Amino acid sequence: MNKEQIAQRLEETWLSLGDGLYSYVYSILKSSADTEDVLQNVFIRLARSFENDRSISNLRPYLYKMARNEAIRQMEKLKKLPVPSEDLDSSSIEGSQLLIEEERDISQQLKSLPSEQSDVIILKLFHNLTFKEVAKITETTLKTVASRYRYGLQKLKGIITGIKTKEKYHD
Amino acid sequence: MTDEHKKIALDVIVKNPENDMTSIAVNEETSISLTKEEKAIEEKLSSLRPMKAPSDAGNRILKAVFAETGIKREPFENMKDKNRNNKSKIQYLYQIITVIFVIIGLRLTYTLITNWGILGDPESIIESRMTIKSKMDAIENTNINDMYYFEGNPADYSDPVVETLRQYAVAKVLFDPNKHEGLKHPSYEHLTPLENDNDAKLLKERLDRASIASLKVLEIIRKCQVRDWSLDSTKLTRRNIFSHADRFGVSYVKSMVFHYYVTRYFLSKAQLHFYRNEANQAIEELITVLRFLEYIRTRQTYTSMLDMHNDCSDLLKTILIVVEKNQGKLKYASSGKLASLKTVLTQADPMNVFKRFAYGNAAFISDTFDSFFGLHSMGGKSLYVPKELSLTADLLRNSYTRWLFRPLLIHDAKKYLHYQLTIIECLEKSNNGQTFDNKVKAIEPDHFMHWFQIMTSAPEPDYKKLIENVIADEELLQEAIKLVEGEIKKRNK
Repeated sequence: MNKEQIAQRLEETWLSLGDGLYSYVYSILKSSADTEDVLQNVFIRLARSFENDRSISNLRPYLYKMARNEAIRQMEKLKKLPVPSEDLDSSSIEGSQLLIEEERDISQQLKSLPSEQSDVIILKLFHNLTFKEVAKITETTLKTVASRYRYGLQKLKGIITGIKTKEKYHD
Repeated sequence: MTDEHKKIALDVIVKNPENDMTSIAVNEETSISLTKEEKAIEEKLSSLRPMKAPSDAGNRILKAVFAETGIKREPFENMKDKNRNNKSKIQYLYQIITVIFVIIGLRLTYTLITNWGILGDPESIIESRMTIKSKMDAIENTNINDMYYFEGNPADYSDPVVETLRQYAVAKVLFDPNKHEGLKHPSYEHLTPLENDNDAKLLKERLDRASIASLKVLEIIRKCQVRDWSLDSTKLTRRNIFSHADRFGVSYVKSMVFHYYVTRYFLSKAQLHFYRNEANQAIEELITVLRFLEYIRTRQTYTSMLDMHNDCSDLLKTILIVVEKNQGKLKYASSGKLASLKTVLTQADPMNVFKRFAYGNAAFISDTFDSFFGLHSMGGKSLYVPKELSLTADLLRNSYTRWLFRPLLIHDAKKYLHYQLTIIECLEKSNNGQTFDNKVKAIEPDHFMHWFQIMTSAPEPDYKKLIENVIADEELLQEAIKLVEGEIKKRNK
């Protein structure tokens, strides 16, 4: 593949997956600058793969996995532990300003889940990945992914029900 | 999911915790079950949009990647160009389409104005066109010598109207050379071989003069105010002749174009192609005429069968003359073209035309038979068709000895016998005097009764000759002769 073809493939990849990758990495790192650094590394590695004519069977999970690993590496490098993000859509104008209250609540509760569970839910629901792809990205078994997903939703239900019951009680 | 739906979903979670479970298959073996509340939460989360990357993030990231990997250009540079190019292409296409529509509109307006007139009454226009025939008759009768010294503008030669009329004039000279006093011995045969320079010079002179003459013809047509006709008809080509007929009405085209244009223009083109040893193109022109003949015939524009027959016969005769005169040139034609010509000639043969109409109308057939035989025995020759086509034997065998027996037999047995003998004579002559050997292989019972009727009323030498010539099988022949002789003896008693 020549340079021009590589450039074209990279551009196409960014246009189709860039937003998803960005929001996913951002959800881990909570920093725009770090997110861009990570994605820069991801795309450089992708460019090398294209240069070597390596065939990539399923690009989306491949990139998410690479982005996740890079993000974790970046986190360790910065000795920065993941903390619950302030808002899933904090850097999106459309996101934070237009979210209705319930949406804000539920997304807020998602951050209170253990990172393994929230990770699975985010990949599955926000990025429309299959359980199989999520398992590949998180390097766990399919059953583990499914149970993390199930427990995550159960916990969210419990949290929301508790809040509602408390509100009702106060009323 | 609308806001209302979202609200309902949350309310359901709180108020109805005992709702049905939803099962989600993870793979063939594993599935997870979610309560309705969990499902509602799932749906709620699904509806949240993940954040978008800042608009310039992609550019920044890819710029760094490009620098790192040695790609020397800005990210998304080509895509911008591509979008720009696509846009400009679309605009360009839009402009072209607009121009085409404008041209079509102008052309339609022009057609309306020139063809029908703004207040055009179709009836009166058709009527005025029909008077063209008389005007063309005037042109036809004009002494062509008067036209030779007309000084035309050579630039006009590229005008399709002029070119067509030039062809017309060429045809006029070639088909009717005696009117051309400038040539001492204007015989057609003299021109055909072009064996020496004088012949070539002579021909060239004729063609040049014809070109000048065509300008004169054009002038006459203009004076006759038949410009519209000349425009339309001279645009006739092999391709559009049929649509032209549809447009102006078959009757009109038949009477005007068919006689004055098709027969002369296309035949003159065929002649010219033959001169240039372009036999294939010449045959194409002939085929066009024949097909047009068939087209007119199938439109049932003839009210009289006799008219139809005459037109068919005249045209076929003209075509056969052209073919015969150029039979030496036929060797340049491909076998496929010769086969095509043979096919359309067979279709156009008046006998085949008769086949469709004349059954049960024997009187009509007997009235027109003579003219047909006249065609096949003109000029002391039995047939005009060159041997390369071996056409006439097929025509005669198929048309006469098969189909036309019955109506004619019923109507006039003696006349039938006369025709039958003429056919045999023609066949023998066309076969270099040899007896035609493709004799009838068997006599159909129904058919034989008619034969029998004829044999018994014929003089002895004739019936024997007839029987011998049409019955190949020896046993059958003897049987037929015996039957006929027995019948004659019975009558004589």
